[in-house]
Amino acid sequence: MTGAQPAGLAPREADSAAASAVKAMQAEGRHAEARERYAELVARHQRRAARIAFHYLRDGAESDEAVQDAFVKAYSHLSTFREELPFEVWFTRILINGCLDRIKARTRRERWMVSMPESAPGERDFAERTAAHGPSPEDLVLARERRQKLAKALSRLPDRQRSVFMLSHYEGCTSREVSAITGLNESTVRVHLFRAIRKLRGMLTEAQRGAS
Amino acid sequence: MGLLNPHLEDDDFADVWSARTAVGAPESDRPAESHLRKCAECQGRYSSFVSWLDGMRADARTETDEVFSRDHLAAQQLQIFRRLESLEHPARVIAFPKFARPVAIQTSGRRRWTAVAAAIGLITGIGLGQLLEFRTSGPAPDPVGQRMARATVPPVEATRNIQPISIDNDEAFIEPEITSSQVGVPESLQYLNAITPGARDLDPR
Repeated sequence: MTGAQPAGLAPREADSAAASAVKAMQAEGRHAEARERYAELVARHQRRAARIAFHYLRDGAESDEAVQDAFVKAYSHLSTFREELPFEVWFTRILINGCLDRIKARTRRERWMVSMPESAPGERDFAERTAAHGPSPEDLVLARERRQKLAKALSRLPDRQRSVFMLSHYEGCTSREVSAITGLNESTVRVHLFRAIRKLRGMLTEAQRGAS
Repeated sequence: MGLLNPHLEDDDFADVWSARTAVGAPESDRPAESHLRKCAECQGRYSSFVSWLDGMRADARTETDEVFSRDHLAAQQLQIFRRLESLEHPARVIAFPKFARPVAIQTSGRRRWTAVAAAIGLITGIGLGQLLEFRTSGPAPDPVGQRMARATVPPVEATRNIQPISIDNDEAFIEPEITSSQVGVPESLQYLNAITPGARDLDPR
């Protein structure tokens, strides 16, 4: 979890307190104060939201828009938020639904358009790369290749398996949390996670064998 | 794990790992757990399996952090709050066409009096016109009725004795018509009637 949180409160409790406060301020028409308090929630969940959106969409600009949309939607629908559910779970659900809608729209668009070759996400230009004091260009190329293979393998997973894998492994959610976010049973979450790992292992080992 | 191979395979590791991750505990209820506890070789392979997964997560995080730098996130936050502010101020509808100054509605009595005077003048003019016309022309003759009376079909006995009409007779036939039409012409127009050619003058014969 990133972002500031009130001292002495666990992240979940702090989220719930902030969400309830924003909801009350909105109801009383104190919008400026509500926005100020909402900033706390945004700061705490923004990085995680960007990560999830990027894993789904694999495009910086589109992920940025998806994150913005999710935060704006969550703010305007905060009156429907129930305190018994963690804000994180509720918000992640909004975000993932938005990402899936964007993927569907993109698939429809791509049916009618010829795709242009694109540079890999996060790719830097030559000057920036050579001026950096980090890993060598060879290491960077290898790492990028590895990430591309992983991204390709992830994109070949069915939607549910991919969601479960990303939330469980990348975001460290428990099966109960994943179940609340995705609407699947806890036992189904475990099955999807197992299948996702098995498939990924198979695809990546095959790709490695093919390369060598 | 099977009869020939007593050690765990990748699927078993995946099963154990997903069960442990799902419950968020170091051990799970999976059958492979008991073997994993005892076998050092499988423990080693399981460790490398877990490192492979951890490496995957680290790669994914590095990649996202490269795309979403601190500055990028700050800009994103600003954009989110700009959008939230705009939610409270819905778009205004601007009237079109927009006048530079409001159109003044004249409520002065002068305009109303002008309209009433114009209406009275119009009515008086029409009334006087009708009255004067009635006095000068008197009751108008009914030429259509007279012609209809003349054009009625004669009795059968009379038609039997009809002789073909000569051209001179045509002249004689037209003549009284012209003279009779001159009767209806007012005195002031008789001069104009005299100097303009009539139907008879235009006859090529």
